[in-house]
Amino acid sequence: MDQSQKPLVQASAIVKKFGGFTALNQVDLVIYPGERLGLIGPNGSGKSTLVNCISGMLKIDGGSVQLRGEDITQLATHARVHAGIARSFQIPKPFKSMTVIENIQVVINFAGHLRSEAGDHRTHEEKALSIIQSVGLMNKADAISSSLTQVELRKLELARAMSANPQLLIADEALAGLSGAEVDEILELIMGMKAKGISVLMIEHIMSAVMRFSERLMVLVAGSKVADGDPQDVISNPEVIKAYLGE
Amino acid sequence: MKTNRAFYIGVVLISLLLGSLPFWVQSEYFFFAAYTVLQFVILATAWNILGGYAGYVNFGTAAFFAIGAYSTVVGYKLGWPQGYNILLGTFMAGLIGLGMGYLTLRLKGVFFSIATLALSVVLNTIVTNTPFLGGARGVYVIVPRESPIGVGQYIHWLFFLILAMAIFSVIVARTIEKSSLGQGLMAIRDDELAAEGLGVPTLRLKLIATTISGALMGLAGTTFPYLITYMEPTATFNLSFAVNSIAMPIVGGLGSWLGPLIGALLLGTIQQVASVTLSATWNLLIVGGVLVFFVTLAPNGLMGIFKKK
Repeated sequence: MDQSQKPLVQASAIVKKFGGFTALNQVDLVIYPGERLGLIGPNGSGKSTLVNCISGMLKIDGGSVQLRGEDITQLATHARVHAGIARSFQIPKPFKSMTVIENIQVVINFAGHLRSEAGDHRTHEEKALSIIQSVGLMNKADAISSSLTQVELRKLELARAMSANPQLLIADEALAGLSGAEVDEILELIMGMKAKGISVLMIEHIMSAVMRFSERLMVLVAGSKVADGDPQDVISNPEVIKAYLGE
Repeated sequence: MKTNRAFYIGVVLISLLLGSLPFWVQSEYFFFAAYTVLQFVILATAWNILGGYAGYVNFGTAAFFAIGAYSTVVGYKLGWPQGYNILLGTFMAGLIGLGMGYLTLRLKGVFFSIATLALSVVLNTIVTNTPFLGGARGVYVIVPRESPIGVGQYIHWLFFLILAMAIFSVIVARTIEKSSLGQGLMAIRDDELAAEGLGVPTLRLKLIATTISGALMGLAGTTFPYLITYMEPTATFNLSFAVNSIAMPIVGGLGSWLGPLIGALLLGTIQQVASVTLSATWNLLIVGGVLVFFVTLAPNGLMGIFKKK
């Protein structure tokens, strides 16, 4: 990670309220090109709300979001995907009536092809198959997505996000509900994004995975940022310990 | 590519077969009944573009149908040729479809459906209170007895027109289904939030769908005044248009161009046969019975049954 570069995404002073409840209070988040950023916090701390604000699924009540220095605060969700921010969902949301390859092709057709590398003359089907192969779902390419197991659904979520050819991939609890070996398998996939120059923002509760993954760690507690920095320093931060273990 | 060729060969063969009917079927009533069935093929196919592909249930079929029909009345009164009236009705229904989409597509589920039903009620009220359109008393459209192309009677000409329109509608629906537009609409149906979050421009696609769906429903209505020759709001805004255009795709199978085609041919034919052999009032009862059967026992329609096998 090179923090001397310009940030890929910069979210500044984000405020999000649900009625009278302030879910995010003046939260800043910066992620650099190719960086692996972990985002942790107790349940209800605002992690998913923050990534929903960055991806455009929630409108913010204050602050701004910039991508490569351009203000994208007013952009619709799909336009942010086209601009380079893709995400996987905490609870897998496959297009149930479609096969695995069709799920991928939808994303390539609407988003992925917009950001194809120059000289990549593969068809959409070839690109889809290549992504399916990279997540290890080749034997399920023609299976209806509603028939997939939990780990396969998690892989499909990642594959779909990768299909958008993003610069920033947001993985929202991509490891939830998986066994130890399955966690390793998915984590390898996510960590492999760095080799492709993709920045990854990962929300996770499994601390061993978070520590393996993160080059930098950010902690949210009750809608406010309490720590941001080197993972080892962050987990020994008294405020973080207090938030997780109590007084 | 192969399936495309097979489809278009099938279209040509069916067009030739049906187009030759006026040369060897004598009964004029047969063509009236066939016209009605083909009209429902268009309505069911058009409804399926928004309801089947995108999952938005539209109860406003009668409104779009009536826009097409009353546009023809306007064109007729202004002395325009039939071709212009067909284009006008299709364009107006598409335009209203786009406008309705802008106003209602942020609504979900039953709220969207109620809004489309409301459109029908509003337009009915407007027509009923517009003397130029005949108001509640209705308006006559005088048609010649002979076909303008010199072959057969005027009903044969109307049959040719509605056949061409039905084929056009099915080709449009199939083209959408096979395109990225269809793929995007199906993604919206499966999970709209996920679709938007993965780069599908959901609002734009839904607007395109309401426009095309509305335009095709309007198209079906443009020749209706020439068929019945007397237009009045109660018949034109009849709820049976909405009920049939929903029931037919459900019976045939939602989300595929073939489903509404099969459903409309089956249900439409049963209704026409029942009208002659039993009673005209049995129509909706039959639709209701068949619909209950399919919704409870075969929710994926006839297409679903065949696919399983």
